[in-house]
Amino acid sequence: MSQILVKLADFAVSNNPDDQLVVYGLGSTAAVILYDEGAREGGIVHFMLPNAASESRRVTDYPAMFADVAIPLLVASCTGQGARKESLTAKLAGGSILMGQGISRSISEGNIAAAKKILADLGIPLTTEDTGGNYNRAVRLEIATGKTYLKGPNGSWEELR
Amino acid sequence: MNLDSAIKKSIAKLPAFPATVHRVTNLINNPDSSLTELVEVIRLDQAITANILRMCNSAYFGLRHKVDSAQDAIMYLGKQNVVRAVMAAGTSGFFKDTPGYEAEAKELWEHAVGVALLSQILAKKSLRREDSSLFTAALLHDVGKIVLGEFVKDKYVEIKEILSVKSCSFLEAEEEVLGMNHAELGGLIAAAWKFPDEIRNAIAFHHRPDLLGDKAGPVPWIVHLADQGCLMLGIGRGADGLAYHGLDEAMSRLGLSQKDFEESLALLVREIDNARELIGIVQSPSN
Repeated sequence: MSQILVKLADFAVSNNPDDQLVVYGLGSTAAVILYDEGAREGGIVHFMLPNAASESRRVTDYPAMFADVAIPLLVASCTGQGARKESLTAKLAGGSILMGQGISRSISEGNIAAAKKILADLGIPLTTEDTGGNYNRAVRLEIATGKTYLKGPNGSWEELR
Repeated sequence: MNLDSAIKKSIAKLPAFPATVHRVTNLINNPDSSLTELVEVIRLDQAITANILRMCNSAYFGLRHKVDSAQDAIMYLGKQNVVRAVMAAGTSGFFKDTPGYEAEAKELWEHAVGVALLSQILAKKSLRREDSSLFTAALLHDVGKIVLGEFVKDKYVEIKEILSVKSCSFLEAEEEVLGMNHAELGGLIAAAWKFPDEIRNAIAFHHRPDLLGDKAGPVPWIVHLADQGCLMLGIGRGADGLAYHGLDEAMSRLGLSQKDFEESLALLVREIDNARELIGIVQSPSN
């Protein structure tokens, strides 16, 4: 089984049943995980800011940096490889918050709120989420099954249902 | 021996800080020093020379020609970059796996480089200049974790329990269980390594720059904010996660807006991509 690492401000899509897509180091950043059960295809995007308006110059270099550009891009990449938009379901993870800091809260909560709004606008159901807290997360998507696993504060991988 | 003195005693076991790095910093801060003197000092240290050449040829410094001598490296890099390269080359060897924080040497080093790079980005926005003391302080801000890791590991269950029951910060849990936190210990290490007060204070107070009062200047605040930024982006991960207090006043102290901060985080991603050679100096688990 091959592991594809999805870096910060990046995304990956696959329909190869041997692949696992993995994101490490979700802090205040967030990951949207999409999967089409019929096509057995999925993707993950790891974005760090809610809105491209904050740094529009960076969009060309790092389109997956901003939720509002990154999520539609992930959807387009999934459908481009054969997934059907109406069959896609989404999971959401990340958005940790530093204690007592407004700036971290606005970015973390902004990321989560932006992801939810964009998914709703695109008509993609969000089936589950694991967000907030003040710890790091990692997520892993198995392309063969669509199962998503999350590693949280206790350090073990558990299925995100 | 109580825990506090056991921890302090372990500082003595740390190898001495490379003399080359101090010599280079002194030469660069002395306007009368010549380039030849700088080349001579660096050339004597083979490990640092080799690392400088690797870094020099990385995308981060963006040189057009391949550089293969210390002299050329210094000519092409310029003084500020020489300090950065020497500092990174000289300190990377101290980074090792820290069991208690569940962080590998590579993670800890990536975090250190990330905070150093972000501190320069924030300094350019806030102070309109870069600052080599700031780079050093940022690179070494978590040096206390290197010593504290073993002690945290033995007490990790206790620390974790305090974290969940009291919902306090990792720093407070360290203090309660070990009698000191990694920042304070880092300050003691910096003192043992004979760093100036500005750098020692920025390390010792990187989670609480407010305790330094108004005389502290911007350096500790920039290190604080850069650390927060890297924790938020998950650059260098440990068991402590984001369990730290961020001080809102950091932004107003530095005259930065939320937009400035977000722009800085976005810029950092590119810098980190370009600094892979710098980060690659430390490899887990061999160190």
